[in-house]
Amino acid sequence: MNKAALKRMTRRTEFYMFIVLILLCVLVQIKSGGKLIAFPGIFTRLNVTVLRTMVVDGMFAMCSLVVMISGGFDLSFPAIAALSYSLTCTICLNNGWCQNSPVVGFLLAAAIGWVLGMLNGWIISNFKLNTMIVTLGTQTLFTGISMGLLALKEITSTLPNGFKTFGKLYILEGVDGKIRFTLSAMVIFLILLCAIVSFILNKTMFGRALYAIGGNEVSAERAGYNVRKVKFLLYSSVGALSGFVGMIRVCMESQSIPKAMVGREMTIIPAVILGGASIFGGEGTVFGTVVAVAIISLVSNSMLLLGIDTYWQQFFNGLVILVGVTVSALQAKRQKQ
Amino acid sequence: MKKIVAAILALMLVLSVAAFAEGNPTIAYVPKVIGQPWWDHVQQGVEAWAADKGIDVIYKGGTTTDSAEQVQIMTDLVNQGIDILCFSPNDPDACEQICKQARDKGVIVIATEASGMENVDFDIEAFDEAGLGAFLMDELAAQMGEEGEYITMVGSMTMESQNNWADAAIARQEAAYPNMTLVPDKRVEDNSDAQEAYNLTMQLKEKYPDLKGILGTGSFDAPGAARAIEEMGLTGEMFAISVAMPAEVSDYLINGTLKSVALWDASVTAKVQLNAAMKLFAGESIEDGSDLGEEGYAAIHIADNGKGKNYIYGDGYLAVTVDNWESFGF
Repeated sequence: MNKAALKRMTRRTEFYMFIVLILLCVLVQIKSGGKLIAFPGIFTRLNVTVLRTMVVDGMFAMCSLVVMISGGFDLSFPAIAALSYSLTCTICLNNGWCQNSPVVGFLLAAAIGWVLGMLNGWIISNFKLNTMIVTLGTQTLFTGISMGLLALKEITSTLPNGFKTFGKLYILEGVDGKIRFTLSAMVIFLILLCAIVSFILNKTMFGRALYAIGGNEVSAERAGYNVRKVKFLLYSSVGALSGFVGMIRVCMESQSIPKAMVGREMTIIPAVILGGASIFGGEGTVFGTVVAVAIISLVSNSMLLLGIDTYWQQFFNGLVILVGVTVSALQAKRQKQ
Repeated sequence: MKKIVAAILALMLVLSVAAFAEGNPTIAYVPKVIGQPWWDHVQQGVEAWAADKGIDVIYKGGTTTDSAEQVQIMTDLVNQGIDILCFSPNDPDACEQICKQARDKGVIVIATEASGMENVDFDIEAFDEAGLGAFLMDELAAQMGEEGEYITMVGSMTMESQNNWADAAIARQEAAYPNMTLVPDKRVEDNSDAQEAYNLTMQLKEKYPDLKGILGTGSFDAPGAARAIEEMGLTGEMFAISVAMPAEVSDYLINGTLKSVALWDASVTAKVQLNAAMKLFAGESIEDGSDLGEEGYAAIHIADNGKGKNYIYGDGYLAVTVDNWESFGF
């Protein structure tokens, strides 16, 4: 490896985050007495739980990442997810759908999310408003529709069977003493989504357009990118994706709780920033985001094991936001110079 | 015209005296709200009571939990002329004035979920905090065979009543189940989120491989813990309990992951309110140990609410099991 490449690598937040993740893994492995990684089987009860927690957070982080790269902030994706899955589950329940296969439910949730995302896209691309303000507004609007207008109820035991069985699928099963553990099949969706987003960002015109718009919107427009079209497409697809991810969550948890997603953006967005996405746009990678989500998931799942009081988890989350934002701001400053 | 009106009024007077002579009081029941599963269930209880006793009960409530609307309904009823007013206030303080007026008119006033009220004859509670905590522990201990490690779980460390239940449960264990031990972490909080309860259960079992029981309190604890227990294949070897809505845990009750959850039946509390009012109406007194005619209230307890007023509590919590969960209808 030549010197220039090494220098480039050490400039990146992802590089340091990856080191932090490795150190953290070593710490947990030692402190827990070898519970994180088993040799030679790799999988343990702890790491399958960490991976499981990463699925939904990681997929939402992808939604957040692409928006942030384009220089925007989407605060509404949890509200879109919640409205999409609550409405979908209610419709499926009332019509007796999805008793065997969850496919219709997923399509329906994605379609609802897509429509809601289009509203975001339409307002943002047409009126050129601050994305944070717009999505803060639509977030409240969507939550209001779900809880007030439609008064959607919690669905627990009566959740259609297709969703329940789908969420319980696993790709790997192990036994630790008497205790059974499984690696959720939903991990496949996370891996697939990461691959797709990575491909879009690096290999397509749409991906280049996102980085260009996030870097400098005016220059991007002059360079011939159709900023309006790109933004509309971006926010509507993120809406559809949010609806889809929301359904994954419903299946994994075997319950549809309309208010369960409230405030989730405040743990996802910091993770994305921690993973190297710039709060000013134009920067961010799939790898960095996944590493950051892994760090947060690992910490939250090993706190008790390491004997750290649960109160400290909130402290840690606060620290993540602070460190992430500071690093991001410092980097932007350095680049300007 | 005047004569006809006078005749009608006279007739009404005679009829009302006749009604009075039969000994049936005019009773009104005002719930916090109507049209919600919990209160629909209370309404069914009140109607069953009325049919059983052959006494009419006016059941009237607001469509929202707005206190002003509720006080208006109570005022209308009191002005109509009732003998007994049973209710569950949305805001106890806001109801004091109308309750005082009612009592000045000789109306018997019985509240529930308002143990701090002054202008009532009695307030009736399903249980006291220590009693529920001990009940949860008794249920869990029976499932665990009265031995093994356990931990307590609450919705949040700041929720006063849930923490009081958990404290009472621990006290019960220390007094009655010497072979059970509380693990060093003592208590965890799941932020009233079943997913967090699931994650905590996974972690706890990792940290304490011999952990055998989770004594939850809030209604998200048992469902979340049960999902983890089921997934770990530990059904029948690890147990969890908490207060929970029957319909939300029915899957786990049916497949045996949960043996029971705790609940109190608000429709029974409503019947007890009516029974207590009837007792006072008949001129009988209610004392510590009195029987108020429903399961869990065969020997009621009377306590001082600190405002020179007594409130009544029963042992009205009950175990929801695979055999009876459907009977609750919520």
